[in-house]
Amino acid sequence: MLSAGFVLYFISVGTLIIILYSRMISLWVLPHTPLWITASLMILVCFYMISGGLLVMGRLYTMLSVLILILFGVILYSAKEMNIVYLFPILESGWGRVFGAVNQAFFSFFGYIVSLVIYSKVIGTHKEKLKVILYAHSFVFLFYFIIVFVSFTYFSTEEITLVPEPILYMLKAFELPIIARLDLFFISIWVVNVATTFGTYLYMAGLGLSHLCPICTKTTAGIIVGIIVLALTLYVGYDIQKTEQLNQLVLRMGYAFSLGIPLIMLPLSYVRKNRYKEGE
Amino acid sequence: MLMGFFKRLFFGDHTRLQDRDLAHDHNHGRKQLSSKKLSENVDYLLSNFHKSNDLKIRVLNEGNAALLYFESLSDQEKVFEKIFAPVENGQIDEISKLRSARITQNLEEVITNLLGGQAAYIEDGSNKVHLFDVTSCYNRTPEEPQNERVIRGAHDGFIENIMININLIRKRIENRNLTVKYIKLGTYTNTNVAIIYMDGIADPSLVQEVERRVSSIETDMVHSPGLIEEYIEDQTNTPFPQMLHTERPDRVVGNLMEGRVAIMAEGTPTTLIAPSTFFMFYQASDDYNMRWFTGTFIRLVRLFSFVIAVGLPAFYIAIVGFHFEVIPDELIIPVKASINEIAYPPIIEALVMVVIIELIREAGVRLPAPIGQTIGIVGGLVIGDAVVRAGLVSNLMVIVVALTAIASFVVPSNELSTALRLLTFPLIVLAGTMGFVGIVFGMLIIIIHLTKLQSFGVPYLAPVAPLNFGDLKDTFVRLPMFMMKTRPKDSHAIKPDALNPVRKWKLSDQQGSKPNQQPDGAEASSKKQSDR
Amino acid sequence: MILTALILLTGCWDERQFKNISLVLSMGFDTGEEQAIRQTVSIPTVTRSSEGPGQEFINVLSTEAHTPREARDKIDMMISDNFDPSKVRVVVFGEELAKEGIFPVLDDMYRDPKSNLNAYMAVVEKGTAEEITRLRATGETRISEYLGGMLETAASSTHTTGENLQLLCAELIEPGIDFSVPLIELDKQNGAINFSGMGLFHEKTYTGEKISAEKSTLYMLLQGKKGKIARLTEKVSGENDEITSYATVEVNKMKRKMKLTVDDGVTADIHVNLELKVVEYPSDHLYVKGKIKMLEEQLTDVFTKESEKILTTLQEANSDVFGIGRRVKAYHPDYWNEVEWSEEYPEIAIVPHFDIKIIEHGIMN
Repeated sequence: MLSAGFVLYFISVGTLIIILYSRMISLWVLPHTPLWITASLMILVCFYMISGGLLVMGRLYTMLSVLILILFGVILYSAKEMNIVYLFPILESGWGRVFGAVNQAFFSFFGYIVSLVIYSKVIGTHKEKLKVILYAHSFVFLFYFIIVFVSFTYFSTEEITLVPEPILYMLKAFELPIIARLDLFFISIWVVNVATTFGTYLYMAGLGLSHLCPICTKTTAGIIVGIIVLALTLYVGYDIQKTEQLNQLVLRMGYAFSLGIPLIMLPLSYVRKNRYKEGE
Repeated sequence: MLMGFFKRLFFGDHTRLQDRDLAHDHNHGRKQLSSKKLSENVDYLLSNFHKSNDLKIRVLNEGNAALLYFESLSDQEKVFEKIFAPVENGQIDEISKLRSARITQNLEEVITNLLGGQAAYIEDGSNKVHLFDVTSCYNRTPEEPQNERVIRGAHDGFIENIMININLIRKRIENRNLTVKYIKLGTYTNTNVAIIYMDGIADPSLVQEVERRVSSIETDMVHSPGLIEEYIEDQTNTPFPQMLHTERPDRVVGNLMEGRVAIMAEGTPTTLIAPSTFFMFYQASDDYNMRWFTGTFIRLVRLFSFVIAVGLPAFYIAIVGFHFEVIPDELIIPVKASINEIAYPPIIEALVMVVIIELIREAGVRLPAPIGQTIGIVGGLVIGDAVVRAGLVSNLMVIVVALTAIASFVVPSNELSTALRLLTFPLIVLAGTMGFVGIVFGMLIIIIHLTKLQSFGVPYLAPVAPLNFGDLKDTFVRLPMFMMKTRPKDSHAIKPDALNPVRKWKLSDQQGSKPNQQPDGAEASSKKQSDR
Repeated sequence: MILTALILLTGCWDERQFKNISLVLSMGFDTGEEQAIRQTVSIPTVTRSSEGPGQEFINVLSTEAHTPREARDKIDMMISDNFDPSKVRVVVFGEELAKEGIFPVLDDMYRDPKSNLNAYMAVVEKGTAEEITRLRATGETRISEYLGGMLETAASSTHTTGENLQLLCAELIEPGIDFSVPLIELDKQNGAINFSGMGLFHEKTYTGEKISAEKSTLYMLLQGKKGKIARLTEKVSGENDEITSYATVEVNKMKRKMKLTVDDGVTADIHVNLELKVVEYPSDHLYVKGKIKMLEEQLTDVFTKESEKILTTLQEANSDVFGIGRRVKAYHPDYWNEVEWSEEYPEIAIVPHFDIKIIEHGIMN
């Protein structure tokens, strides 16, 4: 039951990722390419990626993380035009708004549920695993912090509310001697990062599904999940309202599965452990 | 085996030592005992060779004895020198008493040996067959291979004779741990295949795996290393070669010392090396003969050529077909001028030009050198120029395609270079469909594929995926030799240290009167610091 | 299978063949006679030649429409290829339209993902953008190259801010910050274009006031902006207008700070620290002890006076180029909420302070 819930959660997160990515591609690069092409291409590539198993994924991600450094460099390059004044006044509209925003941004940190699932399959001491989780999250935090800082100091307070993708919008105006329009390159590299993220969720949903139904192998489970995600994506489409609904749904599920269930499971597992010991 | 010898010595296990011969190993107990009648023996042999005309039978002793050999395989001089000369000189009375002969009673063995170029002497009234080695060899000299030339360094190369090839290796590694294992492959061709490795460095399980795969080949013939490669490689459905081909002894030796296994076959100079990783294909012997600065630079250029060879045409098509905004202001009008009046869409242009380049290359390869050059000039200069003048292809596209072709030839390995040129096509198509996004997906698929590949259990993209910082020293860069203290992990060598401090002299120079008092480890670290 | 599908699908959706596109490199906007906007674009067409650059023709088209996008569609119907503004280098506004407001015109540029926000903007003083765009200057083939190059050099010699559309957007929308845009002028006699100063904007409209080209370097320094070279020529001594009474200095290093004090009203102190290099000083005798000191004092005096004039112009135009308002909002939000800034700004006190040091005087004393 619980794993069915998790599978559903992972599927909906995956769908959200695909929708947001397709929307971004369609807005910025390929406005006329149909949704099913961008979505199915991404799903296919990710399916190919996960078909190699966890080990291959791990190796791949390590290699591809170099790309994040490139993104980092590009963002830092654009920091030369920043204007600290735009940050002030801080806390103008009170803490309520801040917490509202935190709620939205929390989605990015729900990723740690991934480590809870994946680490059952990874060799290593608990301490090492904890360390890795900690490092990963501090890196994510740092990355987001820099992105937010740069985009809020580059754009004025009024303008930032008008620009939904500040980093891309910012890079649009930069021109290097060899290439202009850095945003196109940024978005291309960003696609790779989307692929790794979606690949992870696809893998986990497939993993869960293959546990649930005994006849499914991991491959068929992956195919089934991929088809479901594609169908959901096509159903939602570029409809802003439906996307927002899905976003809210995923956020709530995220709270339930990433915060709620682990918190419930923690005392439960203690109790079980003790009982197990008594039994012996 | 040595142990066995002592055992025999001390414990009096006096089974007689046998000649070690591949023929024995291979005949698998198939046995046909010789009879005492000369004619029966000769008839048996003749019928087994289907009365082949080049089997020469010389009747001796007024019909009481016969000498058989293949005149196509044996050296007439040697026959005279080894068999007749001693008798004529009066050193010995009869041929049968020559001590250089090997004696057997198994006619099947005689057949194999005759095929190996030996001569068989059979006497009437005796079931013993005397075998003499009179093989003739026609070998070319071990010249530098045409496809793997170096500027500095060893200029010899393997030839078609496996014995000479192994000789070239043994001359370089005078060590008892260099182990050669023969396996005969091909039920008809009986090709001699050698598996060579350094015992004590190479991972025994790797050696075992190679042996298992090689010996499991059951085929009629093995005539090229490409066949063996395809029989034993992990994944055949991939454009990427998973075994390194080389004709250079120094390269083989280097790889053996890293703990890899070399596979050689009779009749071909090409040696296979397993396991191989992607980055090995980008290393050339030249790198190690240069200063490490230049070596690193050249290697970076080579790796960069990978990106150009695979991605440049696709990148160009994506730009002129989708994202011309990325062309900087100064360049935009010249680019526009050059492609403005071309009739075909850029993707057709690119495909046509890439195919033309392949045509020129293929035409040039097979033709004799002088004509090959002409083809190159006609193809490259004349067609290239005319095509641009006629307005079929833009001159930018010619530049792009020519650069791509050059970049793909930079790769030291021919197999990989072909693979790269093949990969250009799908990327061109993807770029023509979705621009940059298509290229990213194409590259992603290639990278995923490379990560998934394995060569004898070793990840193909090692040491980048899985990442191993230590081994990057000989991947993107070539660090100075004294820093290459350990063997690369991807070869699974069981003896990781490759060298002790090689620049010890510097240390003793600095310490002056105090010669090496430090333990080895401390010495190594302090030396490292002083060298920085 | 996927591969064949992709081959069949090549160029289906988003392909924009570069060869089928008419690049618009400069655009001009004026107020129209009947409809709101008159757009003028210059489209260069190049013919191929097998050796060297081909011949270049320039096509200038004008049309009237209600919005820039409509004008773009109308022009698109006049040309054989597709109109594409993604490589626009310069956007020129006529004076009248600039006085009406520029943001509505630029909205299309800001919204289109393919537009070039790295383009420069300029306002034509006493003229229309159409005249400028139609100008065939001798020696310069494309007006975009001419104008773009001119504005670039102006930025590197500290005459303009060198801000592109993207950076202007922030100041355009944000309350409490105004901006200035390079002014250009058609020189009919020479068939050339002149840089005539910086036009001051209030919120989204051009005020009609300007800082003249000679003073714009000092104006930039007051803003805290310095290009590659900042050279100033000032009259430092004597009443009669001789060549010897002038000095030219180059700014080596600059530091600029703004301090706000808010009690009853706002006082802004602008401190500018300059390290200067004398490049021209015909009256010589810099070796005389105290002479450098004297020159420093004279320069401080002149700069302060000139700056005061500039600041008065700014306040008269009600153009808060220094973003004093935004700072007030940032650090004194209560005060900001109390006052209507555009009424407050002309009344506040802005005081320039110069601290000048001469550190070099060429290879001659």
